[in-house]
Amino acid sequence: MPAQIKHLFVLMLENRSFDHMLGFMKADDYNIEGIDPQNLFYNEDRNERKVYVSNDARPTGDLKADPNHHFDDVTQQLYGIANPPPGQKPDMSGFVRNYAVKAGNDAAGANIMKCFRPETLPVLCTLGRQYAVCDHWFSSIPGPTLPNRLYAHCGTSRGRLDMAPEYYQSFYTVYEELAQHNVSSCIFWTDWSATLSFSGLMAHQNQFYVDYGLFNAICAGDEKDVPAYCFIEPRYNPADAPTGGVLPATDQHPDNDIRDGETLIRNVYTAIRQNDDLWHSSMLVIVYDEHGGIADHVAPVPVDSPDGLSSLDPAFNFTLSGVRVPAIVVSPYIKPGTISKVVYDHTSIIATALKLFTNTWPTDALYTRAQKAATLDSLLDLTLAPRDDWPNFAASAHTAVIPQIQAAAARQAPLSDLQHETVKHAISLNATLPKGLQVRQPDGVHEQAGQAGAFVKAVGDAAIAAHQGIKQGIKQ
Amino acid sequence: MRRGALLPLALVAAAALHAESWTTTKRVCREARDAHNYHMYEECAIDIFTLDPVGPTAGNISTGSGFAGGLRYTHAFSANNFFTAKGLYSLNSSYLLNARYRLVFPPIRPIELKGPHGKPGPIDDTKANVDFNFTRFDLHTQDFYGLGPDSTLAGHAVYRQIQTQAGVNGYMPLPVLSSRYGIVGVLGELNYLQPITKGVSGSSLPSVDVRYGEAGAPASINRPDFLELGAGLSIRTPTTRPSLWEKHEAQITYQHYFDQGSSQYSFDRLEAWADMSATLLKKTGSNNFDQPWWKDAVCMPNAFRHCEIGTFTVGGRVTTSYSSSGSSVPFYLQPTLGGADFHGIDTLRGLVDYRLRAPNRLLLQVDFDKPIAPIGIKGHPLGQYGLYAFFDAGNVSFTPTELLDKGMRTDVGIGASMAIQNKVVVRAYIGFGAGEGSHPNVKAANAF
Repeated sequence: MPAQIKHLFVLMLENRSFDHMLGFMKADDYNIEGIDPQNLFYNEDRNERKVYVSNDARPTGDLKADPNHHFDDVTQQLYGIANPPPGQKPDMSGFVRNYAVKAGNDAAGANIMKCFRPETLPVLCTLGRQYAVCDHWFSSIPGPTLPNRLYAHCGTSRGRLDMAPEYYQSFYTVYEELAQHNVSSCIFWTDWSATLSFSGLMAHQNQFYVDYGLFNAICAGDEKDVPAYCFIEPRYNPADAPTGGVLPATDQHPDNDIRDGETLIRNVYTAIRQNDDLWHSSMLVIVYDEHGGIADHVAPVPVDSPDGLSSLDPAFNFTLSGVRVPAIVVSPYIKPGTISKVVYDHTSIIATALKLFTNTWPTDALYTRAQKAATLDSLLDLTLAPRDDWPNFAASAHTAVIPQIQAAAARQAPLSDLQHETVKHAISLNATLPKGLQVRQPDGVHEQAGQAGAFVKAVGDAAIAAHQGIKQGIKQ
Repeated sequence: MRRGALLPLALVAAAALHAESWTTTKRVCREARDAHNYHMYEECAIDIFTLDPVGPTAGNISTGSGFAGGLRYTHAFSANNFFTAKGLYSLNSSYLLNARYRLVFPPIRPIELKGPHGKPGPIDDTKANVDFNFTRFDLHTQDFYGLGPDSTLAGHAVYRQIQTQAGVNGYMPLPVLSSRYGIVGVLGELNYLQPITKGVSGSSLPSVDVRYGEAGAPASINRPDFLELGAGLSIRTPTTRPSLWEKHEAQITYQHYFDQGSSQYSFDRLEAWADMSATLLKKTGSNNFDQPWWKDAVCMPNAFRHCEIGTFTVGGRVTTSYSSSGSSVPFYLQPTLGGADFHGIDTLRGLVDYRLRAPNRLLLQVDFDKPIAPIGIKGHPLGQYGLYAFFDAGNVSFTPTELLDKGMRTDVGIGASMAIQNKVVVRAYIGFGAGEGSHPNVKAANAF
């Protein structure tokens, strides 16, 4: 057991996929399972036009209609159809069509493929590059917020896939299990917590709930006073500040401003980092509860059912994970540029907490999936002296890779209406040229902007050559 | 229901039937009905109250207006640019219609606070905003006891207040003046007000205009419109607080009311308020998960190896008004003491609502809150009981200098609170000692 780690902090944000947030960090010298510029991931829209991932997501405004992320919608996103036959493997082909229906048109539907440039997320991407990115962390079920968050607190959703109630039924939580071992834990919260209905926590509110406004002050104090396990909730709704101004939502749920969540991530990291005693004994996990209906190219993986319970309507036996989500682990014992290919889901959080802070691990106290889950302590290199460097959030280390990916994205992007017209004109012009000068029409000229551009340019060059030949003929 | 409120409420109700989340809500509520599970009923209620983009809302319109229910509508153009509207109708036939378009901006530069020993600290995430507002309300029955510190309960009269108001207000945090000890910001507002007061039909009490006239209640007969200009400065503890135990906020504002007819009712107002709370914490060295309830009641243990004895809150509020000779402040724009004021802020809690009224007001308050024990229904804990005690002192006067000349009215009281996840959501209290009996009250959130 790594004795150095006395505190595990978990910041769980909302509804973003891995590719959407971190996919464009992939580079020649940084081989995460991200966006491959030579083989761009795409979905087809309702007119069977290819919509490629692009790196032009905006901090707010792209996803005004909240993308669907209930079980039935996620099924369509994974398989491209609503009722896949048994045994069919997810091909991640239905994101665009599903969102086009929600957003009301194909143009808006294409926004679901938009990803962020690393420099748009300087805090998240810098922490990822400086510490560890887990590029195979999957949400626990292919469904919405509450059941996924239940896995992070309880290790199961007890056969539930929806956002409906029954969460009051005395779920047993990691906080109570840690208390059994006399280990302190708490939830830092601002305006809401999915744990609101857990009887065991509500019975001891003072022990388990702390106003997030105190997080900085607690971290700045005696390291021994900081609870061993701390789960941090973002601000889910904007609020009026008491003396004027607006306190924004920081959960990064679409379409909340992504930059406000960046500030929260920075503040959580800074609060831990400012106290050397605390920093030298801490691990921070930054993870998202589910993909929120946003595209990702990696198919979910088989997982263990936590408790054997199944959902009847819709039918699901909890042996398939949800979609991949961004996950970053920060600790002074992690080397810069660490990339973990290990498969994690949200039960890895509670498994790690129990492994770090109790002497009964492995245990099925929080069900089978947590008992078998990969734990995060394997990311630590405890032979390292604790790192005391401060990352520079202002300078993005990823800019160099952007033009290359941009160019590739542009080459493989679908044609606009104007480009389609240009290709038609080029085909007409090509037909009027002397046979020896005519350009061969390549495959994909109507599908990929790169092919179309090359063809149009070649026809133009040939037309100029033909015109010059005619002029020379006239002169001669 | 008044015809003025009918059309907007009907439109909002029609829109509610097309709410995006209505299908899910119907399913949840049907499940609750079939299962007869009170927690599912609660979830059904939550789903109904969070319907998007149109859903129900409830609250007090203003002190004395009665509990109100209605509908709200939200349309977000983006996270930083949205429109909201709501309509409320109360048990005593008052209504409120309000529409707001809000623009949110980041500060001029990030409010980066200093950490310990020169290390980076947190960034305060307060944002600037500009709000464009339209409000119309009709408060069916408001109480009035005469002006000045010597008014009596025997002078009780009533009035109906109707007001239409449109304007813009905004807030901008000032990074250069802000620090870990406080976020400083400037406020500004420009509003056009069209207030009307009338008699109350069917009331056994006399109307203000009849009983007091213009001399005893300025603008009770005349009906001036106002252009109101205001500016202010505020400070409050950052959202990431530097201290475990201390929290403060304060604001000072200056307003000028231009009477748009004659200048008979033009006046200036200077208002300042400050609140500071201090939580008494005792270090325990352990987490005390399962100590007996009476030990919790003495000192409630928390997650960070301290226990909480209670919280002192000290507050002060002063309002002064200035008008030229021959001008006077309309009675309905004068600050009040007693119960809660027009905006729902507790004042002298040992007196009835609106009991004292004058152009100038001074108020000092001390509260002590103490968490006691969890509460629940059928074994399911829902919240946490607290007890609190308070002391208020205050005065009203016709001129600012008179505020301190006469002895202040004082009261004391006790109350109970309920917190959910450590945040107080309901308070019930009784105040006495101000010479006019005891006054129970239950505090609910206001709709304004």
